[in-house]
Parts: sequence; C-alpha cells; structure tokens
Amino acid sequence: MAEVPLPAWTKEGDALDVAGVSRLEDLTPEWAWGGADGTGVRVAVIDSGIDSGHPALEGCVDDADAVSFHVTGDGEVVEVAGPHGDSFGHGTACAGIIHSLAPGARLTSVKVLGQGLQGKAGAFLAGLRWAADNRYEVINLSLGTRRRDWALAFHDACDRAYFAGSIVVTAANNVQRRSYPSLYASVTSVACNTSDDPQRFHWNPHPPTEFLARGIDVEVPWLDGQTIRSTGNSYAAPHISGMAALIRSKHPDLQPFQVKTVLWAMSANVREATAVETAGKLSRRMEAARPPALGGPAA
Amino acid sequence: MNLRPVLDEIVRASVDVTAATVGWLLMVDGDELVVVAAAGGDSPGDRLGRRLPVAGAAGLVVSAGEPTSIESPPGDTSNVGAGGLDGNPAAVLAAPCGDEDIVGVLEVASPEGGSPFTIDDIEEVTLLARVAGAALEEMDEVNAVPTPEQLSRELSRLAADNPARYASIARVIDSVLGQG
Repeated sequence: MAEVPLPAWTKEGDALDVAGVSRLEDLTPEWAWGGADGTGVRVAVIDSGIDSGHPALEGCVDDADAVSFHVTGDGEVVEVAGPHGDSFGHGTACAGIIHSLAPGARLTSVKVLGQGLQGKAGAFLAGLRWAADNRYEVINLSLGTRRRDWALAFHDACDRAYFAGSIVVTAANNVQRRSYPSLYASVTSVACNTSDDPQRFHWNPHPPTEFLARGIDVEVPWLDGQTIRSTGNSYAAPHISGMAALIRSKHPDLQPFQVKTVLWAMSANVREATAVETAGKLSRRMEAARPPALGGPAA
Repeated sequence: MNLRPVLDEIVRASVDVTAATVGWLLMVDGDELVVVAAAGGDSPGDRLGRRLPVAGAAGLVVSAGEPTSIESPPGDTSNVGAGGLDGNPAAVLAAPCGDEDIVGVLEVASPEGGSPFTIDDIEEVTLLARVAGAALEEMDEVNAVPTPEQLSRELSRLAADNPARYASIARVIDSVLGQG
C-alpha cells in the first residue's frame, strides 16, 4: 500500500513529562527555583560593557568570552573578542542585578554601546545574533532601537534566539513609544513595578509588556567600583533575567515559552490570586477583564 | 526662523519644572556633543559651544536612546560637569532628543546635596526633549517647527493629567509661536 504523503513537519508527538508537574497548580516557587542559584546558566548582557572587576560582581563575569561590536565609517560591523571595560556603567548595573539574584550564573559581556555613535543599531543587532548563535540560556537586553528600518532584522534575530532556546529578556521603552525588539512576542518584555523586593514581579495582562519587576530607585553597581541609585525599565529587565536564570538552572530542559509560563505562574499577582482560586479559573477571569483592543506599549 | 530662543526656553523650562539647578541641551556632532543651549548657574551663556566626549549620563542617553535618572553618591565622578555644574552633581536626569535618530540630549542636574529626580520629572523632561529634538533636527532648515499633531496630543494629555505641567510646556509653545 502506497505511503500517504503527510504535510511538512508532521510527526508523532513524543510523550514528554515535566517532572513533578501534572497541573498548573503544581507550579510553586519551590518547584520553580527552590535551591537553585543559577549554576550552569550563562547569561549574555548586551550593553555598554561590564566592569568585571567591580566588587559587587564577585568574579561572576567570564572575561575570556567577552566580545564587543562596533560599526566603522563604511558601515562594516567589526567584532572584537576579549575583555573590555564599561563605557557608561549601565552594563555593570544590569550585571549586578542579575548576579544578586542568580549568584551561580556566569555572565558574558557583549558590548555594543560606547564605541562611537555610528551605526549603533547594527552593532546591537550583531551582538544579539552572536548571543543567539552561542546559545546563551538567557540574554539580557536593557536596550532597544526606535529605528523602523531595523525592525524586521531584530524580529528575525529574536526568533532565531527563541528557536535556539535562548530567553531574550528586553526592557520596554521608559516612555510610551515604540522600541524594538521589546514589542515582539518572542522576547520577554519587562517594565517597572513599584515593589522594592527584587524577587517580586508581576504579570502584565496587557501586552506587549508582559512582566513588571523592580526598576525604581534601584541601587546598582556603576563605574569605578562605585554604587549609584537609578530608575528605569533597564533595571527591571535584569531582575526577570535573574529569575529566568534561576528557573533554567533548576530546569535546564525547559524551552523559552515554558520558562515564560513558569514566570507567569510565579508572578506575584497570579500566585496570590491562585491561593484562593485555580490557575485555570484565574485565566478565564483575566481574559474576561481584558480590554477589547490592544494599544501601544504598556507602562 | 531663529530657533535659539526656543532652545533656551526649553532648557529653562526643564530646569524650572524639575527644580534642578542647571540644565543644558547638547547636540550630537560626529562623535562629540556640543552645548547649544544652557540655563541656570553662573553665566550659562559661557557654556555655549563647549564640546564634550560621549560620556556620563548624557553619553549613555545618546547611545542608548532612553531617558535616564541617576542619583550619584558622594565621590561618584562619572557625571562631573553634567548640566554645566562645576562640581559633582547629586542627581542627573537626561533625555534623548530625536525620534528615530538621536540628535541630542537634554540634561538637568542638581548640585551636591540636592534632591533626586522623580518619575514625573523624567516624563516632563522627556517631553521637552522631544520638542528640542524636532528643533535640532531642523536647525538647518528655515521653517522648522515641532510636529503639531504630536505636540497637540501630548499637551492635551498633560493638561488633563496635571494643569501645572501644561503650564510649563505652554511656555515653550509660546516661544515657538513667537518665532513664527
């Protein structure tokens, strides 16, 4: 009997088991990250560089893996491997937040800011592609571009990272304006909540910003071994990156969408609501409360 | 049209509305920043034309395209000179000028012992920076004005949220109209 042709990608689904989870209610902080410290997870920090010698980082940065990208006057993107400093302090700040939450994770600096103002988006895109190609478990992007002509290229790069298994955590713009790649579904987009608890984050039912974490008046490591206080979604994103590193440390086989699901289930507003109601009922209730049309980026 | 008074008024409004001590508007010129307007402090006019490297809070903002607010501890030297302060500011707020391309930075600063900036301050300086960006982008073209539709939308929202804010922005608009 002739074999019946099947549509492309058709296959039998393999039975998969997520250990210890048969229902969403089984997802608890203890299951998600209990006992984990980020060990085994590599986090790429795409930013202004990292001051790897800052005392707050306690040697968590792999200088040998560091890489920087800049664009020449001819528009050529140049990759330079090896250690570098931080031009502004911003990358060190993000690294410090991630390290404070996931001290066992190893951090890599992917420097794309601070080496001239020419072709910034091109350097940024090259850094993102590099991190995806090197299959970093978590990629922190407290950056974005407003250039529409780069939107498609960033969309492709984020999909590439997603299918390579990398969680791309991005900061939403600090004001209500479009910013790429924070608007894409393949990334985990983060804005500030008002909490001063670094582990307390919220799910935002009004995308494209999906999660809210600490980002207001945050004490962060800065240049020259100093510490400053600063505010912005830039500092909310690394809080989620840190939590994602903990989850991936404990559950290395989870795919990006599964990690996002765990983050959703562990969000303070979801967890506190599910204390009295099942997650399924909560989802239906939130769906009913959702506005009829989606607008621009959420605050 | 001479946009210099408009730029000066934008910086003055930024200083007033945030209760900062000094402020300045920096325009991107190659890989440097040039002071094109200043307010507050002693002889703000002396700061015009000063060229600066892409560094500190202003450097971060022009590179990343995001507003930033930094509260520096005593001894932090990363923002020395910000906003035209001779010493080391206690707090710096900088916002990008420009839409898709960042053409400048609007920066205000408080001296040592001054108050940190608030979320409201960030929003207001960011809006003023958008107006400044429209002006900077068109500095070489005679009939430049900020995008009326965008401006109108923002002003309506500010007026509804907080009439005091509307007043601060309206000063800038008056300045623009006075040039027309």
